Amino acid sequence: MHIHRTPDQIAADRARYEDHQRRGLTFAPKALPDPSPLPAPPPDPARVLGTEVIAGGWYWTCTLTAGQVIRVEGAAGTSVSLAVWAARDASERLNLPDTVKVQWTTELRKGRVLLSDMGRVLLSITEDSSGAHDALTGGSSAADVGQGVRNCRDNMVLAAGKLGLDRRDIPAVLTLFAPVRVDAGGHFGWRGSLLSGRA
Amino acid sequence: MDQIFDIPAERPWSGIVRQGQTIRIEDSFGQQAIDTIFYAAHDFGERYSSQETLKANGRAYIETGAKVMSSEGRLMLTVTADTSGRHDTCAGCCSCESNTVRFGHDTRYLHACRENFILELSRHGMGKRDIVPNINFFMNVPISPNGAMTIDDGISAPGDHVELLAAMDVLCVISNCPQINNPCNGFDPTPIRVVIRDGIGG
Repeated sequence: MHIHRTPDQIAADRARYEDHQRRGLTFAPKALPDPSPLPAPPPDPARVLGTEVIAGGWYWTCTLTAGQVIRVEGAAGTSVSLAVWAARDASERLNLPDTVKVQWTTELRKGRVLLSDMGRVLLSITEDSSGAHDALTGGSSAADVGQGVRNCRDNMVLAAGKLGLDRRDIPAVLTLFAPVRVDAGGHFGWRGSLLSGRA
Repeated sequence: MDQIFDIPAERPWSGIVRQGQTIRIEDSFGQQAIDTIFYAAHDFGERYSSQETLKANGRAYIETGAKVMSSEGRLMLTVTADTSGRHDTCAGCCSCESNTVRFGHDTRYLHACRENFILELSRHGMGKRDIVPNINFFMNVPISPNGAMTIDDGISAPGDHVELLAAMDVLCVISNCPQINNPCNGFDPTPIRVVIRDGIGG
């Protein structure tokens, strides 16, 4: 038999959890900033360190140092899947389950953060004109799109490979501009109306 | 001959389930989250993928009939029975590190699933990088249409169980969740039982 915890211990832990729950579900969403304007104002050219136009269906990687900002701009109808590793130790990486449960929401938008598996913030979402991102269902795979068509999974294997990593290192990916939401019955659906960022 | 494994509260376990065998995971005392990851037994690089699984089933929860998919988009197991009705694969496993962010620094030195997984995976030549978003059997994590997510009281009763039929040989790695900071274990972690047998039914 297991050692039971005392009713007092359980009551104290439950009370603390319910306090966290109230703050996370009720108060935190009220403190979020408004979405960014669309179209987004262009960044100050003097501060831009680099620009890359990523071909449709392809991948790209870069290293950010703390304090730098990356802007991801998707053409209409484009989704972009994102993996993140800590530059100093790639075993620390984006952890979407922690990201969503710590913030009590699967809806990542301006004011939210992306957490690593070590409880640290990797990136903060400082501007976001969309607010319609998918933290749950990931990107495409060969099984989805068919052999011979580029897919997200293969892109991630290639990107990781060129960083000296392999498929074991690919975390669950965040897909930007993908308004996947869960309906009241637990089914996933694509809610295109959210892409305006104002829904 | 059934293989029966009794797993104490708060402890990890691992075992092989062969193609055609069924693994029963039993929540012996009720309201106990059982964090579970599957690896292809002959190639640990292929492992459970929550995202492939969510996509394949089109559902936010694991239920009877659900396909458990690998990182290579292949079927690993199928859920053939479930007396409980609610299992999560979106909320991941607890860790000392995330506990401090969620519940405060005084929870830093409490046992957590990530500790269990690192220890159990080390027995199979794997490490922290091999911990992927897992299935939480018997963990109740409703997700609302507005995205809100919470860990609610478990709905499993003592003896509730789930069964999965293996479509390939798999290594099953379990952390019998030690979390006491939220209701996933009724604030009181308890022992569980795993039974592996040939075929379905029985």
